[in-house]
Amino acid sequence: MISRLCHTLLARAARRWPVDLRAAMLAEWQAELHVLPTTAQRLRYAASLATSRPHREGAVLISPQRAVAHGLLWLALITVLPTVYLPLALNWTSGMDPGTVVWQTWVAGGSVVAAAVLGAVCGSLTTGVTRVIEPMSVARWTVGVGYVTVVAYYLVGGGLDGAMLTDMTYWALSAVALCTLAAKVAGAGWRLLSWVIVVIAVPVTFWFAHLHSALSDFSALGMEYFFGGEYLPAFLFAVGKQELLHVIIFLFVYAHVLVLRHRAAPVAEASQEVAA
Amino acid sequence: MNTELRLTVPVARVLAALVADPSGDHYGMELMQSSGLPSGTLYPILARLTEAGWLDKRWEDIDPSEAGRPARAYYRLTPAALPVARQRLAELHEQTRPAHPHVAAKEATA
Repeated sequence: MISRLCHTLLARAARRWPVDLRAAMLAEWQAELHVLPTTAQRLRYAASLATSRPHREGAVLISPQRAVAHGLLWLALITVLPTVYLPLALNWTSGMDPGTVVWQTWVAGGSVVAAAVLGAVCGSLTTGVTRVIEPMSVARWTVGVGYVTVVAYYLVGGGLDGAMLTDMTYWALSAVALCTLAAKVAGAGWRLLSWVIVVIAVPVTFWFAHLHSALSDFSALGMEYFFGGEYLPAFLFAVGKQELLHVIIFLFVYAHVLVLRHRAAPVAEASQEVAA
Repeated sequence: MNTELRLTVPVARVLAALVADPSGDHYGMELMQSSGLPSGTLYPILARLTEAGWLDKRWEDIDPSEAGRPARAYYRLTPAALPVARQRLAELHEQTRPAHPHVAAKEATA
């Protein structure tokens, strides 16, 4: 059982290494695993390899057709999902009373997590996007298309005015700046720091998106009747249930996962492109 | 050989283990013990050093069915890399050496 687990971990680790080294590294690891005396040492050896990254990423060949298909799917996801989600979410975010606030809190928290998970899943399903759009431009395009989608949604719904357009424009500009910074930091090898920037970008840009809304005047929200009149939980609830927040999280995570999952094209292909 | 290799602390530990016995054949588990690095840190360093031309990698010459175990991979510093590794480690040692008390006192009063 343990032996099988160790070999599974090694096989998983090998899959992350460049194709040209994969078989040799796996054979080497299996030879070392074979002579380790204790179960704990074997597990530690295999787990360490399974959770670490190789010295260089393996080049990945994605066919042009697949890259275009991923690009089209990316475009569909960042336009259709917010357009469908924003009106649907109004069903549970628009009204509240002491009887509904408990489950609304759970749904708000779940929506934040679901938005992040959905962004990560979509990012891992459409990795070919970075063959169509430069990795450093992915944030710009994702936020740009998201901006047009959300503005169009409010425009069609009749809720767009000058103040909202200003707020959304500030949101888009700050989002592009911060997400591009996160992409550059990730490109420099600081993946954890890049995620920290993405996490910070969510509340910062959300604040820009609500410069003229009721959220910037919290006392006008009528939240003093909920959460025992305590400010912080009531404010977190008021922010957490905002459907735009969920859309923002989805877009940011999606764009950043695409950047992180970008892999260089094989050298032969790259040199052919240069020659062409 | 690429001499512009970035000498991080883990890389220095691996090089120190290899320089300690430059003519010996070193395998992963032994290098893990002598460098104090986990497998997930060691093997990417070995691969990077090998690709940079600092290490020769060869497979143990055994019959796995007779030996009852798979052949191991052995690493050894290349002849060209050995003096460079020694020099880089000496430089690192010099940079991290604590200043002599008299020198530190002179610098403080200067």
